[in-house]
Amino acid sequence: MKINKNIEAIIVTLLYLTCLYFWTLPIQKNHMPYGEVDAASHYAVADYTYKSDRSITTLPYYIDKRYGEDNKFKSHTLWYPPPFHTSLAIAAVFGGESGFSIYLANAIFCSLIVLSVYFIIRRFFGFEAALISSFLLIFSMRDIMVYLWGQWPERMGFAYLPLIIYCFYKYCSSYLAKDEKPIYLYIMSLLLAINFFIHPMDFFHSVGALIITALFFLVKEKRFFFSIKHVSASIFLFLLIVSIFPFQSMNVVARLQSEGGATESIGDISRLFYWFKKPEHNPGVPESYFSYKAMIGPYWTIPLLLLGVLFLLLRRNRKDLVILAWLISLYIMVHLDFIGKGRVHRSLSGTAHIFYPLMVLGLVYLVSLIPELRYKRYIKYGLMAVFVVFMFMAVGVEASKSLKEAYGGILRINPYQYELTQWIEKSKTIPQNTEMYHAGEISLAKTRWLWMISHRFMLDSGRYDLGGNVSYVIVDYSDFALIGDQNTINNLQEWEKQNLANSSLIYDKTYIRVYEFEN
Amino acid sequence: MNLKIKFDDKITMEIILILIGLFSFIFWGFTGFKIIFGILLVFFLPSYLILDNFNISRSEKIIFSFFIGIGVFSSIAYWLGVFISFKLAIAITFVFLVLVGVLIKKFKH
Repeated sequence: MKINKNIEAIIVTLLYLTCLYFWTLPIQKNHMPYGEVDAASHYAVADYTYKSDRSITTLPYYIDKRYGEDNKFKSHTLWYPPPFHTSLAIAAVFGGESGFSIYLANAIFCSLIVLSVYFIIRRFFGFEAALISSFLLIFSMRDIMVYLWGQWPERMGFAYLPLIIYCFYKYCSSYLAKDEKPIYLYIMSLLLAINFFIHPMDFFHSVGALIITALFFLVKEKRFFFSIKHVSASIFLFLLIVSIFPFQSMNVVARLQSEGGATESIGDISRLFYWFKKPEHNPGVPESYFSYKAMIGPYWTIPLLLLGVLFLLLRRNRKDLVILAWLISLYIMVHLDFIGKGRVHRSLSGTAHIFYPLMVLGLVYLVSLIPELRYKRYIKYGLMAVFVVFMFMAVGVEASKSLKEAYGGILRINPYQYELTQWIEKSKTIPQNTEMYHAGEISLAKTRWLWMISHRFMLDSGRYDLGGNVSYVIVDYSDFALIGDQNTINNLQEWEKQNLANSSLIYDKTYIRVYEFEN
Repeated sequence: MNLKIKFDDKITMEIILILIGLFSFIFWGFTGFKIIFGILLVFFLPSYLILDNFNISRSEKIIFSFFIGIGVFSSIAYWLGVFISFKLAIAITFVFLVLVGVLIKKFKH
């Protein structure tokens, strides 16, 4: 389809705004923070930066108590390079608050894959393929799940891969055409360095895709397709940029040396014949996370996916090879457990980014097989429309429901707890470097959220007994009251009487009390 | 189907900005509006002014600007924010990067 570039720009804007509409559903009506413990950690760094009006160098006490050793190179410093969290904090400055602002900015960052996939597929295969691929990505369940749980930088980092391989392709093509454009290589270095800052695992995905692309080009062209001078300059540029955050960059190196991967699949040949085999020991995700049908689409899409691969294999022009290299590098990343490396179930979350475009290419290829008929063009658009509608019914409806109902009810901070966190945060009575105890929590994540929003270190009663260095105790009936669990309320009241009779009550609001603890 | 409607670049940009503005306001309120335009202002605009000096296509400039802007702007703002107020660091970073873009343009011409 030939399309005016201005019309296209408006369509892409509408597409991405639609994406943002869906991805912000969890915060449109309820502005309370949500997510698992990882979300709380990312929120905490951005929130503290915004509220202290200073960048973090040494971790504040309450963050340090949990993440102080997560930087394996230099303890008590940020464990991630700062750009991601600083960007969230910048959004908070514009929003004038750190709750909703962080979540809105995060929705933008985490959904950038929709734009980068649109871009590469548009440049390689045209408007329709790009539009459908990126539309489907809006509803990619695995991306949505990980986004909702809180592995935010990992989500964003994946969006850099298509742009990085695109730049590499552009440079190599210009070199082979004897019209060298090293600017693409330098932009690639910059993107690669930022990719490294956003999330190291995604950086390794990008590097893998680059290596496979380079090998494919070498086989196809049977000669070198780059200038040593340009490559050296781009490597220097990359190293220069990553050196601006030495503690965090070296943390990646230190972690690579110290961390092993899953061991259960080492040498398991059968594993290589599956895209992903559900691990025996669940890494803490629902069963559906490993299901093609639930995460990608109905099984009838598999033939389209394979057709897409076949189409690229048969044609094998440079653009096709780039996409195939992306697919193969992802295959390698999700099978690293075969050699006992990697966090493969996390790598798996990059699947839809390449599977959806391949499916669409399969469809386009299928349509191209239709003999020349008078109404071929209408058949083509009709088939594409049917495909989009069926896919939306199969995955889109469920995905938008998941976003709309995400962390409803007591699964996220309730208003009583939020009021408490605001009181604690501003409290001059409760010192910054104190230890609090949260009794009545419904989950580890709940305590973690109270801890991070209050800016005070908290122990949860699920894993710790009262005692030790605890100075303040929160007795939290709010969640149990909201779900009407009277038995647990009675037990907690009994516990409160037994343990806090000698302590002074300093906060007594609806469903929640705080005591200054006397052991 | 051949979508070839005459559209001026400036009109297109205005339509896009209006769309973004309306959408932000309707779904995320005034706070959302400020965040969206703030993000566009600091992460997109300075990098675009810099990339605009190089011989790459406009769509490439647009997409690379945002992805690079997030990393570059926040890195500079982070380091400045270690020594001065974070809010001031954002303002200085913005002025600095816009100046870089303008100076490259001047130097190249």
